[in-house]
Amino acid sequence: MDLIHRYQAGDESAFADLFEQYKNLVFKTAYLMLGTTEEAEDALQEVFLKVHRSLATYQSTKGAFTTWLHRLTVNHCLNQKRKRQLPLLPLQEIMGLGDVRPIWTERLADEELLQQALTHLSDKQRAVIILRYYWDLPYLEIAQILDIPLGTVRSRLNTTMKLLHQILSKMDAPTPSATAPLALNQGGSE
Amino acid sequence: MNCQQIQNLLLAYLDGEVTPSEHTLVDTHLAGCYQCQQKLETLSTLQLQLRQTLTHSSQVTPSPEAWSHLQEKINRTNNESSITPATSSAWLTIQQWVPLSWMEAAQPSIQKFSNWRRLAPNVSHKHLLTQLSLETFGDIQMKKRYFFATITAVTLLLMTIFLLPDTTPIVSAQEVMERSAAAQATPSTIQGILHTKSEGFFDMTAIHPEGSEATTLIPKRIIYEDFIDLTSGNYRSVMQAAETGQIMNIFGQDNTYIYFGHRQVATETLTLYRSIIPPDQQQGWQPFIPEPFELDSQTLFEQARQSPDVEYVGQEPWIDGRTVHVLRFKPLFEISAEGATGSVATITVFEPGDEGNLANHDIPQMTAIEIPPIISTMYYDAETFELLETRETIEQNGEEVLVGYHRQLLNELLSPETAIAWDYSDLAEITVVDDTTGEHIPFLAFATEILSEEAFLAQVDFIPYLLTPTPDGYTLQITAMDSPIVYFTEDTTEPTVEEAAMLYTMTYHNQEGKFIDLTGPDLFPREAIDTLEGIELYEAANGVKFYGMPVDDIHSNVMIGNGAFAPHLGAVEMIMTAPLDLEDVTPEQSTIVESGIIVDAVPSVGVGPVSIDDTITFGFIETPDGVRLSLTSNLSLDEIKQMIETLAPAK
Repeated sequence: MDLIHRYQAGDESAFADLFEQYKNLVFKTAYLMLGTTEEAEDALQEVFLKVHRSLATYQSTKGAFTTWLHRLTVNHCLNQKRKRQLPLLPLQEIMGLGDVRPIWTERLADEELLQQALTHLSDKQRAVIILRYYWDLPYLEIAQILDIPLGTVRSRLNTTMKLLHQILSKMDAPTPSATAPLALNQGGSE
Repeated sequence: MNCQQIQNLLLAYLDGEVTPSEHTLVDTHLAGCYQCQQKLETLSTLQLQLRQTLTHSSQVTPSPEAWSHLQEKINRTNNESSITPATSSAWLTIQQWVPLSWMEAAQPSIQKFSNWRRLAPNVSHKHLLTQLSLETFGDIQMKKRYFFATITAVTLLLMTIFLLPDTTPIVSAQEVMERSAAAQATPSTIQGILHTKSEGFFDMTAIHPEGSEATTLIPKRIIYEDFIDLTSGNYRSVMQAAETGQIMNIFGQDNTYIYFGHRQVATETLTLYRSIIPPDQQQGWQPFIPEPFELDSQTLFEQARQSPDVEYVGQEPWIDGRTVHVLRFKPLFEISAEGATGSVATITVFEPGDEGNLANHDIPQMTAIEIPPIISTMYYDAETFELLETRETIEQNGEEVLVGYHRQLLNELLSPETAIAWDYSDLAEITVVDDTTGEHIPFLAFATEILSEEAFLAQVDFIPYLLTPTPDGYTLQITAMDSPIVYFTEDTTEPTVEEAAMLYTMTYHNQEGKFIDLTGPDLFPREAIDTLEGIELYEAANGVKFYGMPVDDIHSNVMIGNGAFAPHLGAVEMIMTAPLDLEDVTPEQSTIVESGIIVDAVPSVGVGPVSIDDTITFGFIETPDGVRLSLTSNLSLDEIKQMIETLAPAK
């Protein structure tokens, strides 16, 4: 009997096993989405509280447990991010961004730059990148987790990768606005 | 396929997510294209680096205390939920709120807020779209169905939010309504008569070609002219076809009468109904004086320019030689829902990527039609910062196609003494009819009344079934709402009012926040219920049939609010206000709520980011007498079934 059925059959200890088995899934996604271990800890608590509340009525016929868990995690993180204040940027930074040309350079980013570039993605873009390139999930499962059509997963990944490349090119370029916050361009045109 | 098309496939190709035919296409193209080979390599390296970076970035583990903390929280939550009192006033609010929201949604051609469009058309194209789609396709009934379904979800979201144990402050609907009312009651500091004139163009065919036949019913170019007396609240609005000058719509009020006339077919004459404002509705017909009017144009422009949703394009010469600043909104996705009969019902704005959510609204007989993203471009006078025009375009075959624009022709403040024909006596081509019964008042007032069980049994015109006896710990509250269903059909110019005038809601709720809610009579078409995916039939021993559908972990993206309009991005945007946990209000909305500049409080339903993690059952019950009631509950399916076994005719 798997952990969920054990729990649903009344075995409370199964929940502890479930937590042990899946805590990293939640924690790592939350950390990559939210950026601090404190917030990731909070997310871990909140997500497993929800799991605890809903597990009794969880039906495995409706999808894999991990899909559901990913979904709870991503939704929690998106909600958390939404609660944060949106920054208002001065015009010159917007103007600086306007200079980014959508070109593909042959130069590739080092890890530090890439980490920095990732912070400029929108939350939804970040989520899709984490699900695909950290957890290696197939597009279909990402679609289920994010509750979006399959085609949107494809286009969102495409847009996000292009944007990442643009940001990297911009960061590498020796212009005064190289350090300008780039969050404005998030979202692209998916 | 050209390089661009191939490059759009490259990522999926690398991820192994292309179809076999796409795979072949890409292979073939790559074999002969050095440029695309380079791009593939770049992408591949970027992917690799992403994987490495993400892996290195996530070398973190939860603290050793994580499990004990979780256990503490679970225990605490269990204790709290058993002592959380039900918010009795919440029920009243919900009951008052929902029918109003439906009414607002179902109103065709209401010009009450048209002044908003005049003053700040840039974001309001959403409203324009909605309104035009209504006028165009005229199928309010379908819209009603949509909203009925949405409202079920919203009612339930409301209830859930009210009843969720939470210690954070709640902005109740009542509170927002009160603040809104206070804001509106504050006399305007400006005196005079605001006169605005603008031209709107909207070509539905470019967006939704199938609707082209219906769009011929209304002109594509329309002139709107409004007068608002900022002191008395007198209001006059006329909408005319730009080409012919023919009046299409009239809506106004002069504190004694409401004037309403609507022409849907170009050849019909327009009848203007003059209805006496009911004594208890005097306030309700006063137009609100929009706050944005008092904000200076430059502030509004700067706000818009600094929005993350906006790109500053630059300066351009305007038609008349002036220079304009050009701002461009990120594309919005507009989704239309199509009914089984082919009628297009409603257009809603979703965030890009949220299109899939429409399918989760469980709207019977509705399918989403994907509409190309609409790009809004705004033109501001470079010296005065006045918004001159908003254009909506879509991209079709690599070209930008104009689908609509809104152009300001006039925006002036006339002296308070200016004579205005508030009674429309200056218009020659219309027939004025006195509406002595008030049946032509466009915003029908929805009276909501809490009934005693005796009063309910005395007045209800179907055989009501109640839980007998009332389950232990539960309280029954019955509300009645005056709920005529108004709709226009394509071949009539007069609204049709359906017979079922009263809608009753029987709500059972207990101290633990559990509820079961029965509302009826439900007028959903029977066949629609049968086709609902996932709905299960349970037949109780008492002959009651129950169709139920539990929905786990709702992320329905239904935005709830009291439809306050507030200045946003230098325009007017419908926002979510209440009754949300403040924590759930997005930062910009929160600012609006907290700064108290809510300027209208028309309850309504929109789309937005609300997630509720609870299992809610939607459904219907059908009594042996053929009466159908809709059901929502946060009880488990088995508990609901047990309750349904106790339903018995109450008279």
